[in-house]
Amino acid sequence: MKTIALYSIKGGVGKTAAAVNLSYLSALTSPPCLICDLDPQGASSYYFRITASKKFSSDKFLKGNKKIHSNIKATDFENLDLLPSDFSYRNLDIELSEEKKPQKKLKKNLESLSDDYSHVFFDCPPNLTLLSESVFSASDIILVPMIPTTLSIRTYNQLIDFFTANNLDRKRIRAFFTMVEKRKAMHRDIIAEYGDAPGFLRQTIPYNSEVEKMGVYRAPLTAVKPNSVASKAYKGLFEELMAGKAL
Amino acid sequence: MPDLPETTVIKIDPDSAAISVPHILENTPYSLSFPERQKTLRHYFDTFDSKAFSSGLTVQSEGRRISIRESSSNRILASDTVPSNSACFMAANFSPGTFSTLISHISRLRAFCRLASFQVESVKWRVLDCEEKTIGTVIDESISCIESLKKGPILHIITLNPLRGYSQEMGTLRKALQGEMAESDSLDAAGIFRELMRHTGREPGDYSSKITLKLDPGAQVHESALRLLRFTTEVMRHNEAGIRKSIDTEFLHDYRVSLRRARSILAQLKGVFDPETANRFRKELKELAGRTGALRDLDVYLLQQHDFPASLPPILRGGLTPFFAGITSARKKIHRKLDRYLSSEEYRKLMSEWEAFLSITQLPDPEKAPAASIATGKSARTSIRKSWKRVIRNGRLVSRETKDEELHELRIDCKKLRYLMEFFASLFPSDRIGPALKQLKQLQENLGEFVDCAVQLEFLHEHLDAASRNGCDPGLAASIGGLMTRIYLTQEQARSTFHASFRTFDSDRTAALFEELLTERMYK
Repeated sequence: MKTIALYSIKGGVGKTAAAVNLSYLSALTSPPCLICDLDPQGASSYYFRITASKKFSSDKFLKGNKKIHSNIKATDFENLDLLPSDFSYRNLDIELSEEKKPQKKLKKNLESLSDDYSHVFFDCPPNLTLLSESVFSASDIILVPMIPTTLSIRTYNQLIDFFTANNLDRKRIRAFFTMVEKRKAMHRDIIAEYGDAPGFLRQTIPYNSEVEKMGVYRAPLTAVKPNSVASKAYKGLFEELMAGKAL
Repeated sequence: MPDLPETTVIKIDPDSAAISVPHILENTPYSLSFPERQKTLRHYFDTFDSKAFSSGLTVQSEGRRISIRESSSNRILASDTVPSNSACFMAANFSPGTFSTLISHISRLRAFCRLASFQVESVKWRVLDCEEKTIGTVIDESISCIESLKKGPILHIITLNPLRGYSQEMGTLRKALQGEMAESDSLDAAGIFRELMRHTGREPGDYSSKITLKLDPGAQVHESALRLLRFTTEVMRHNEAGIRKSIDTEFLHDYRVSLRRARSILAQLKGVFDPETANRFRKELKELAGRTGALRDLDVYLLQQHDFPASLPPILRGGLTPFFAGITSARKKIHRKLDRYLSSEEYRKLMSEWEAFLSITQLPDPEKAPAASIATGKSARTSIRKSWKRVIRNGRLVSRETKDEELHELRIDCKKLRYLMEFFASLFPSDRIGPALKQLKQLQENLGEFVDCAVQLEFLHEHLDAASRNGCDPGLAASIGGLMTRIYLTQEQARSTFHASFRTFDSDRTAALFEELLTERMYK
């Protein structure tokens, strides 16, 4: 089982869109796949039209294995399951801090899934907290979507610094540019400067109104409109990730 | 993925009034997607001995797709394209993948043949919740026999498949459906399969070459022996068609095992039959076995078509291609000959005389057959004891050099003991006969390997001789040489471990097992 976290300190950069589209592609090419919605906003659960059972909450999530198992739901797509998030996840950090080894918690909780899925995607909430640390230690790859702006580069550097300061392996971080608008000079310049830096993926995801329409389709764009510009870009991104031998 | 939700199959009387799934679901919070209607031909496959069925699997094809399903849930485990011969195929006909792995796991040796074909008219809906999320599917199927389409459907079923995490929601649906249909009946998918087979006059798992007779220890051994012989003869009869059509090699194998068993009963149960008649049939059955031997020998090589080359260095592998091509064409010829014999008047006469003999239940003249009226239990114990003692006696005589002939003969003694124990197995508690048989099997494995190697070496030697007379290709000679070396090494390995494996059999522990089995009073 390979684990990929879609992570960014900043919000609104397309984490959920990437998690939903990449997990769908993964379910097609190397099934089966699970997407774990860790964000209390529950956007990826919403995209798949899934709501958690009434009994499911953050403390069940922290109990791990069995409780997680029974709350996984199938999406409408073959070989793609989802562990929905719950609004109670907003307290995950506080609850995690009461655990013995909060950084290892996520990894431990997902151990029993390792025979069931070939890939697990985490859709993370935007912040840098104890939960993020738990995600970092549980993930083989930390995939960071970035809008090509100076502020994004700054938060990216903050992440790298955090990894260095906490003795985490920064080689697991992969960044890629999203919501790219070619007509903007700043986007062009930043991509030119960082596009082939180590740890950056070559494939970029263009700004495309189709991606926003996923809220209307409530399905992965790669499934509904596989030939749209953005779908093709996600496909390219997924292939680059797979070819990178990281997965 | 584990923890899959249960599939529910609801069976409806096919003659009952039309049932409308959408109508029934009107009063639930769920809606249905646009229906997908389909009319397909469905074929079911299995081996002659129902290997898939007994492994809890069904193999079925619809259109160009063939799938292996878990019988209990009807869940598809793997699927592939239907092979070119769609009526009968082997595991080797599929290219590597999950399907090929699974089907080889069911059986590598046996052919999968079409059991029955049905026309399936189905309507499939996705069940949607208020968010329009699919929570499962409902499939309404009417199944008709392909041979009697006019009679209408023989089975009408509604299958509910919840998606993972939605069992509870689909449960509401199930209740609604079951409540609406007074005469509904819940079945698992395996039950449906069994019922479909029954409609075509088949009972899955009705054939096995293993002796399944339950003998009565108090019955006269003459009667029990006749029952055993009738059973083995029936197995032979069952396999004739498969041998003639050359479906797979197991038909001939089972036929020969049953034939050997019959000969073994005639030979070992002395004084049970009139010796004159028994000897006559022994001779005739031996001849029959001889007629089938050559074909089996070639089958054994063809089964090694992949393993033999793989055991040689790559440079020598190509040399075996003409070897196997030669065997394949020789097999064709020999098979034609056997096929002709099995349809001949001579064979028909032999079998009908044999079957007539087996149908005479009257005891033979006590002067000629003094042991015929002995109780089966007693006869079993004395004959097994005698045969066991012979194995021990002859095994102890095997010299330090373990000569070929010594091992050959001991192997035959072991086979005789094995057959006797298998004939009479039903008279003993399985936890007693099981361990004793296991000890014997281990010894037989060692001897079997030795003798098989010896036979193969002789065959290869003859093949080489014949080839050299016709100007042998050096590639072929080298390959066969390589093969002979490997077989020789295996044979010597078996030879060198013989004394150790015989010691295990000739141990106090095994002796105690046999003594306990054979001296105890009649088991009930």
